[in-house]
Amino acid sequence: MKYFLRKLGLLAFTLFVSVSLNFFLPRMMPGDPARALLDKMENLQPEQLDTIRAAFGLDTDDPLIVQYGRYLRNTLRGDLGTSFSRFPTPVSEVMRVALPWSIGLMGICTVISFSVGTIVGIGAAWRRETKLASITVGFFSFVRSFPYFWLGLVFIYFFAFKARIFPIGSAYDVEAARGSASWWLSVLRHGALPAMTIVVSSLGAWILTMRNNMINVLAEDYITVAMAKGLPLQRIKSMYAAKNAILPSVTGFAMSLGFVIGGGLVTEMVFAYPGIGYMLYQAVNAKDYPLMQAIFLFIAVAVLIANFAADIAVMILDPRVRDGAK
Amino acid sequence: MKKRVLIAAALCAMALSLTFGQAPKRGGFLRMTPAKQGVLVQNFNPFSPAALESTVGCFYETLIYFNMVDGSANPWLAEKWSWSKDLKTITFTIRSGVKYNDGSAMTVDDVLYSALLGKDNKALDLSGLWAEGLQTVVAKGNEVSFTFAEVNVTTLEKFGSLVVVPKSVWSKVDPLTWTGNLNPVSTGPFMLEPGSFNEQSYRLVRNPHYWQLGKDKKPLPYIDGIQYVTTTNEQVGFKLLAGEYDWAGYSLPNIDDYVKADPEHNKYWFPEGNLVFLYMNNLKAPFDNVNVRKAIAAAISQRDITRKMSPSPAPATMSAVKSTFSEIAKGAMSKYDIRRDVAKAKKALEAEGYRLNAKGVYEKGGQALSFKLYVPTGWTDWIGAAETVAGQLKDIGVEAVITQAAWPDPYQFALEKGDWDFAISFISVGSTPHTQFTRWLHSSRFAPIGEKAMTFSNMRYKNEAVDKALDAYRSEPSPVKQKQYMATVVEQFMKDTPCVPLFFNPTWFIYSTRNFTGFPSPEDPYAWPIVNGMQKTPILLRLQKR
Repeated sequence: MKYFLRKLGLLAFTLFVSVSLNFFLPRMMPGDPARALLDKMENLQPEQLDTIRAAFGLDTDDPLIVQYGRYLRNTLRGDLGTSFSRFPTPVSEVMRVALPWSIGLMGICTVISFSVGTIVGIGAAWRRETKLASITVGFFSFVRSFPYFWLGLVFIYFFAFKARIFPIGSAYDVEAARGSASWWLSVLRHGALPAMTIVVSSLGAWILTMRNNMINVLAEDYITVAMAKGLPLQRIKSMYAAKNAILPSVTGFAMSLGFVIGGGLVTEMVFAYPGIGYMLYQAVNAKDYPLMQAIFLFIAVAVLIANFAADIAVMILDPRVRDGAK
Repeated sequence: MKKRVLIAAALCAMALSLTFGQAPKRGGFLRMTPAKQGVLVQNFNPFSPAALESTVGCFYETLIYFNMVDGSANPWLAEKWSWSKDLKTITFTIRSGVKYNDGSAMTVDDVLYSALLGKDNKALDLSGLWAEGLQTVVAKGNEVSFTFAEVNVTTLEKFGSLVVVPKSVWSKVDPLTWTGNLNPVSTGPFMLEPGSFNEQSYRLVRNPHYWQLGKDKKPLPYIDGIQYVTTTNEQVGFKLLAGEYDWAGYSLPNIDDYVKADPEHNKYWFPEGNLVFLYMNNLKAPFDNVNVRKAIAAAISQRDITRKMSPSPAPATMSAVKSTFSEIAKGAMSKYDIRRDVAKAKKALEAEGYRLNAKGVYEKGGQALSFKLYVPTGWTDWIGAAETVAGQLKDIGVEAVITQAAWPDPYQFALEKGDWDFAISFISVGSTPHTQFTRWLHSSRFAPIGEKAMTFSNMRYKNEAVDKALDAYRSEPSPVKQKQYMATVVEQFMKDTPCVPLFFNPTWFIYSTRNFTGFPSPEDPYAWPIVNGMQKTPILLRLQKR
């Protein structure tokens, strides 16, 4: 219990630090957001710049610390402000549109990749002398070394552009009525290729981690003892070896779940898929402080909560952590 | 016999259809991808700086249509206009019979309301009329008069950005921050198809109440609507090759592959946009010496620079005016044009007392002609151009060290304060050479080194004769005499060579004639094919189904 409380306290503290950094870091970037927006327009007037700045709330003479206090209060209230680059739309509205796509694609792919990778990794370690195991491990380590950007373009070229099995890009069929059965089907069809690319390129890491951990665990004395006692092999494999070998992978999985929100930048660029990653990239370019802050906040919260969950999962899986923390 | 009659009849029918022209073909959805990328937000608020491209031009229209290709003012929501004798008041006759897409009539009151919006709130002064010294706006009958503090006939152009909105809708909200304009009530040729707006696409359908009639005497447009889709730089090439777009406002490095895939239909036109030039600080030695500037100009071959760029933009001449306005530069070009001539450039430098040093760079009094040439970080096409420039300068014994810096900060600010001596820069050319040269050269925008000059007026160059001609133009309603004034400006500009014009940034316009005909092209440049604002509207009204 003490362990749990300590982790909870740490979570609260790191949340506060990341929320604060979130306020100060964008403001240390050079450049003026109002100007970044107005530079795109033809009839630039200095007076217009000032009014836009006022509308953005940038004309304040309050010291930074007062602005910081206001920011903390608004964040606690859930008020994320108005986006600059998509002015006057509120940040929450802008993010609401992109969030489901990011979580849907990246989240599902991360879970698939982790589950499949871990299972394949266990198998590859258990039967590591077989040809199949070495071919699988070798193949996925090879694919993993391709830059994701390049792999995505190659997949599009062969599977979408040449073979026409999948659509070239976007997240859905623009002609289909939203929410209809054919629209949902088009979402699946459009999501398949980017999902395939993500899974194929990230599978190797999970396989390798799990396989190597498993091999280490299999060399432990207690496995030899279990074998000598004549326990069923399946039981040794899953309850004795895999359960202990999975611990480092769980932490890694939690980390990558945290990055689901912002980590899809390249996928979103290559496949013209809507999502938070590309939105963050645009927000940084446009010096859109409120949007940047909100996205970073989501990423920070997601990473921290995922880590917290991983700590709890490890606590459940590993009695040493529980008992050591008495 | 019977057969012959039939053939004759068929021939007659063909001849008839040729002479009288076929009835325009209606229908079809234009698939368009403008340059806006990422997740779409339903913002059709014309007062928002982040509104979608379709907002003005598809939904909202302006008082007049100012054609950026030839600089002509054309009637639109205003039927005609005239200047008062003292040239301080312009009176527009508002077109009658214009209806909003909900069927209600556009009134003179709406025009008055729209014009007055910018009076108290500068952020709503999109046309910049109030900033230009507009004093009063008065409506009388079907006429609206605008009175200015000073004489300036070039303000006519700004009425091409005066968007007319219905007072009944907008007077109830704060226009700048209103996010509820999901289904605009507007006069334009298109309206939103209900329920079609999504994060990656939306669909416009024709406005059945539109005021302009086609050749078939039925309301325009001929096309049924527009399917807007967003994409990314990485995707657009694939999708164009797969024939998924009729109009793309994108740059495409392998544009030749696109044309080769279907030479009959796949086309592009990259008309001249903003002018990119070799910036020299005219108040700093050695660039304060006109002969040095001219020697540097004689090192440059604009054609060689653009030939190495992909896709190639249009090279500029030393006159700095777009090819559509080349007439005003004819005289000056014959007198002062400078072409690449290495021997002549070297001779000119030697005449100024420069001698080649051990490194092959010209030097005088221990000062070598070696400079940092600034170029914005990551602007790969410009960086490539800068490399060619540096190579050409090397040939005449001038060293340019390419130095990347972030744009707009510190880039813009350093140029505005005169901190840098040598850079690749650009000028937004506006719709007429007068706009371009006023922004660029007028001394009212000038500032000494260390003080902030107005945007685009950062070369530290001024010339009384240029000021005089630019000012005289403002009080000259006759286009013929206006051209004479501009000829003087161009002549002075070329005589002093304050910079070296390099090329025009292309306007990205890739299109396919597979489904629609009537696009503008280099052969028929009737409108400027840019996805923002009113410039696209005449195109959308001319397109027909193939």
